Amino acid sequence: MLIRVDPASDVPIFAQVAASVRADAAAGRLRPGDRLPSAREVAGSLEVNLHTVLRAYQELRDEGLVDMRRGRGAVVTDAVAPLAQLHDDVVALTERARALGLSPDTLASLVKETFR
Amino acid sequence: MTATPDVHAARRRYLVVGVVAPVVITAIAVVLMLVWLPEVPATVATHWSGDGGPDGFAPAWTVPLFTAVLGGGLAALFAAIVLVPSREGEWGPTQRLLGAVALGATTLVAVTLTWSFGMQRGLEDAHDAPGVLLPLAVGVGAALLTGIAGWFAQPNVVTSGGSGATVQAVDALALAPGERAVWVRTTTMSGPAMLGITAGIIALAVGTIALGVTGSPAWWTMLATTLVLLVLACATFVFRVRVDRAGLTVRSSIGVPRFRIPLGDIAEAGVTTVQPSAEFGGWGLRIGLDGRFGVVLHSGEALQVARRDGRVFVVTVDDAATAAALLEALTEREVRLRA
Repeated sequence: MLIRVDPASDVPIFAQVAASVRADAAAGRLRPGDRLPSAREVAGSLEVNLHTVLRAYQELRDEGLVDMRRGRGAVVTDAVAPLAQLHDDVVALTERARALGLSPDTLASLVKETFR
Repeated sequence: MTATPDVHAARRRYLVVGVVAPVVITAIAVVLMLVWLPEVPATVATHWSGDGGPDGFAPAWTVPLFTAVLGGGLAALFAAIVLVPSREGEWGPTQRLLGAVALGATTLVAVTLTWSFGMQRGLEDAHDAPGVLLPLAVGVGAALLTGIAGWFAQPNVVTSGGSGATVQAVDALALAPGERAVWVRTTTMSGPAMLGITAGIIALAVGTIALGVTGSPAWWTMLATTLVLLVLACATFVFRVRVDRAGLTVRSSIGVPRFRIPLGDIAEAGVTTVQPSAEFGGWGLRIGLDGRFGVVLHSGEALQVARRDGRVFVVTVDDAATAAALLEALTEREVRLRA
C-alpha cells in the first residue's frame, strides 16, 4: 500500500494518511483481511508524529474500513469492497471533470450535492 | 503456458540423467554392500576423524539402508525441485545443472560409502579400518566426471514462460517537492513451495528419529541439519517490503535476514516477472544464474533494483509497479539534492 503526505497541503496530515488508505482500497491494492503497516512504521517512514497516524487509523475504524485488534493491528474489513467496485467509475468521472476544466473541489461538492 | 517439444525432450533427458542413472548407481552400491555384508564386522566404521582413523561406528546393516535412503532421497528431492514446477513449460540452465548435480552427488555417496564399506571386509575389528581419504578422493573424482557427463548429456534448452528476465521500466511517481511517501507490502512464499519445504523438514525429522532409534552416531548431525533448516524456513516464508526515504528495505517476518538498499545506491528500479525454478533454481534467498540476488517467494510480479555498482536485487512482490515508481521518484529527488 502507498501512503503519501504533503506537509505543504492545507489538508491535515492525518486526513492525508486516511485518504491514502482509502485510495489504496479503492484501487484494489488493499483487500479485506490485509493488515495495515504498524502506525509506528508509517510514522517513522513519513517523519510524522505517531499520534497523527493513529488518529488516521481511528478515523478509518470509525468509517468501518478497518478493524483495530489488540496484537493484530489494523485489519482491513469487508467494507472496502464497495470502494473497489466504484474505482473505475471514479477514475472515469475524474478524467471527464479534468477534461472539462473542473477543479477537484468543484467536482467533490457536485458529487456531495447530487448524493443528497 | 504448455510445454514445448524442446522442454519435453529436456525433461525426458533429465529423468535419465537425474533420476534413472542415480537410482541405478544407488542400486548397484546397495547390492554390492548386501553381498559383502557377511564378510564385514557386525559393527563397521562409518565416520573418520580428521587425522584419518575411524571414530564413528554403526551396525553393518545400517550402511546399505542409509545408502539406499540417501541415494533415492537425493534423486527424489532434485526431481521434485526440477520437474514439478517445469510443468508450466519453463526450462533453463538451472534445471540442467541440478540434473548434473543430482547425478554427481549420488555418485559421490555411492562410491565413497561402498568403498569405505568394502575395504572393511575380513577385518575382525572395525577400529582397524584403513583411512577414508582414498575412497573420498576417488568419490569426488567420479562425482565430477559423472556430473560433467550429466551436464553434457542434457540438451541446452532455455525457455522462460512469458516475459522471462526482461525488466519493464516505470515512470516515476509524481511527487510534490516536499511530499513524503511510503509503500509497504507483505510478500509470502507460495503455498506449494512452503508445503514442499515443510514436507522436507518433516522427512528430515523422521530420519533423525530413525537414526536416533538405531543408535547411529550420525543422529546429532541430522538433528543439527533439521534445526538449521527449520530456522532458515521460518526466516524465509514471509517478508515485509518497504520503500521510503531510507530506500528499499526487505525484512523477514522474524527480523533477520534483512536487506536494505539506500536511495543513493539505486541506479534503476523496474518491474519484472520471475519464474523461480527456471531463473533462480527454487524459492527463498537465491542467486540466479545471471548473478541477480533474489528474495524469491513465488512466481510472477517482482520488483527489480539495479544498484550503481552493477549488482541487481530482485524481490517477488505484488503491486511492484507502484514500489518501483516510488523508488524512481525518491531516487530522482535524492540525486537532485546531491547535485
